[in-house]
Amino acid sequence: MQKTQVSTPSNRTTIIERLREAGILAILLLGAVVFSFTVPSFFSVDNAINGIGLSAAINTIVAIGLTYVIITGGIDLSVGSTAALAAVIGADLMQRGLPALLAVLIALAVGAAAGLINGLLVTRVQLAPFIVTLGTMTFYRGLALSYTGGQPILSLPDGYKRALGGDVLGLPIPLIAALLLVAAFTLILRYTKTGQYILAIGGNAEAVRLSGINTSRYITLTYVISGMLAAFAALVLIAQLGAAEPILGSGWELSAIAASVVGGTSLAGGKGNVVGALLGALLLSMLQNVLTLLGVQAFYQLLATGLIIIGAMVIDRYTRGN
Amino acid sequence: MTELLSAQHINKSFSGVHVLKDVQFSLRAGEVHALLGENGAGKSTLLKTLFGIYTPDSGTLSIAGQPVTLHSPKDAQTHGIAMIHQELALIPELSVAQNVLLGNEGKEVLNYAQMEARVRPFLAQVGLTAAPNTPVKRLTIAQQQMVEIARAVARQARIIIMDEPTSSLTTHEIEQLYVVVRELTASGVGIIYVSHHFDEIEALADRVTVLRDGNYIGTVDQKDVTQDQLVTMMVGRELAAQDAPEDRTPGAVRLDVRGLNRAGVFEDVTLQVHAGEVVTLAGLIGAGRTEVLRAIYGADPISSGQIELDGQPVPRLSPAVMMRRGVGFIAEDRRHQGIVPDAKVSVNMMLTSWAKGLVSVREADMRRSVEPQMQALGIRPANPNQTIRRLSGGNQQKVILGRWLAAGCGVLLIDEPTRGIDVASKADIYRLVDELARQGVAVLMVSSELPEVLRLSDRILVMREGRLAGELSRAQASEERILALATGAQTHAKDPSIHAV
Repeated sequence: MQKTQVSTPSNRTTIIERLREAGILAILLLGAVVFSFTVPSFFSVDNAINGIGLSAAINTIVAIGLTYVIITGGIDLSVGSTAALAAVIGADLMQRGLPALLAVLIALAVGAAAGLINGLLVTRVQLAPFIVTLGTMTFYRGLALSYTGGQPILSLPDGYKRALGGDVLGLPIPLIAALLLVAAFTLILRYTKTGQYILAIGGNAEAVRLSGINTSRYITLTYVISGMLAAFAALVLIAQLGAAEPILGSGWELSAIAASVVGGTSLAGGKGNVVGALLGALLLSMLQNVLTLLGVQAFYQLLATGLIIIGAMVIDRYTRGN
Repeated sequence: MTELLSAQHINKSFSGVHVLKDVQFSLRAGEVHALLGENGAGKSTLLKTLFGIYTPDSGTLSIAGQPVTLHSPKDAQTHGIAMIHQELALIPELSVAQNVLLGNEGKEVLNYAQMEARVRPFLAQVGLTAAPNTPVKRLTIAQQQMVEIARAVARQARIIIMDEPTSSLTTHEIEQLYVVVRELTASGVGIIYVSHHFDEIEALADRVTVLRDGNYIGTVDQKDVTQDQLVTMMVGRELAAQDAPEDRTPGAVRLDVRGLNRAGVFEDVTLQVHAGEVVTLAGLIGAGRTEVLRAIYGADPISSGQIELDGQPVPRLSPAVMMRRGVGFIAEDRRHQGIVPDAKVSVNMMLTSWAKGLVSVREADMRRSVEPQMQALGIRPANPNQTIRRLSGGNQQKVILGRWLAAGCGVLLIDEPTRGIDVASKADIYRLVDELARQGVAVLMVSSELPEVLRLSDRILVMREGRLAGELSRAQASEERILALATGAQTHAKDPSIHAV
């Protein structure tokens, strides 16, 4: 970065950032309008909610945690495996007759513990987050597979399926949960000390540490949040599916990173927002939805998703100016 | 004398802010032309314009009498301009020879022996004794700088821009730099020299150009002006005379360090700082001063030793613990260890206050705490929402000082309080340190600027090779005595009034 000794109008960066956030929203809305006229059966409340919103919900929940981790300058590749581990343990406990609420809490604790291990390896042993979570991604998957012997856990309790997989006022609960979590984690990032420290650590961890702040604690916390949200996303998913598979969540890390980054979170850390992750997830889901409606083959859908991610980065590069 | 470079009526704006206003500058063959101005005066912008990083909005630039437009540093280099950056731009893993010849290696298949042979004369010219195959990361900062200069010479640069070349050098290394600069000018190279140190300008410069707030103030022959006249040109007013503060009266011991060791870095450091006292760790770069300061704050591990604050032992050292016990710390490397560059001034200032629970993150709350500090410290622009990266070095330093003032501290550890900042901010920071001491804060400082050490300190502890080499009271202290202790020179060690440890 260039050292700038030049004073320029003060709020320039924040305005540009707002515009960029609005930019993603604009692309999303523009896309929706265009597709409404060009793609048959795209324009319907049902498609908007169940075709796009619901499928974006899971990704959004995972992407919130990932956004926090990425803001500190880290990465969490283990979210998919963490999700699988939490899902099979939760499902197994329910099948054994444990009350669903207790099983959910235990599954969330499993996710938190998985995140805690990541966080401690990053902060105490000072390993690179990429390496740590690459390792645990494999390890947690191995745990999930060994726990079930590779078999899916079927027939979850109906009450549980209704509670997390049902509707309220016509809105699917996973979507409501995702929106509430987006709101909560946006507020935390903006209006709490913890959120401000997480942002500051991403900007310059050493400066924050030398200000007398226990940076390790905050960094670890982001991994715990990421693990817990991955576990929660998995619980929501198995309520919809009615079964928990140990291979659940493969590739989640990539779609969540994509949603975060398309939403304006910088992989270099220090900058990012949760609403952006939601918009990013919606954009990716909408694209997939349209291609499916058009009967485009899955291979081509991958091409389009890849282009969106790169396109978003190119736009980011040029709107940032320097 | 031939004119190597001439810039006329240069204007440059960024987002509507006029940073260079009708500035002129010229460089003759064989001269050192110093560029002087406070931070934010437009020096860096002018240098970057001359080096092709920025293109001026209007104005003409001629090199050797020919009008040119520089679109990139590469353009500048083809016109014989080289820049020695403030932050060195070498590749640490590559050898000296590879760095000197970077982009100019010859054939696709590298012939290391031949490359090393090619660079030897250039290294000799800048007085660098390191072997050409040494990786640059093993060199000292001063040696690395010589590699950069050798690279400029290898490219046959006729115009060399040096942006604060001495900011990380010891006195001895600065002398060596002078020799190299004089040899370069003797061979007809013109040097544009930026420094905040008047003694360097006095020693080297033929002419001096002063900028203030982006305006061209004037160009003078160095021999014809006094330091005071230059300062007046820079700040537009006369600074209060830099006389020593009256004696302060130290109170009880606040910081008590006993037998602090870090294997291989420093050993057996025992010192005390009283309330209302400013104690300085002086010594050469590499003597272990910064390391001691960081260890006291718990930023780096120690092998053994004990620290007491106000008579209470601190069982486990860490920045978080020390902060809570009322110890503040300002690191040497402001950019990497002080500021969160992309965060607002208010956030940068409130980091510690938040942790202490003094201020919430609500904007209104922060304003109430930040604005009085900004006013007291004279931070400009007086906008708490400004991104700190856009402030000058002096203002950034004041924000970090404000961080500890807002949070309150009984002991303040400051490493190089005025490194790379302008004269006016320097005076402000001296005043603030003095005020803090008067309020009963115990200040332990590391500084390599001897006039600063002499001006601020009640006591001076001199380190040499990881150990305390001696102590000087304010009355005993002089530049010569500090240097004698720091280098281990014999002459002054015999002086009975100085007790060597």
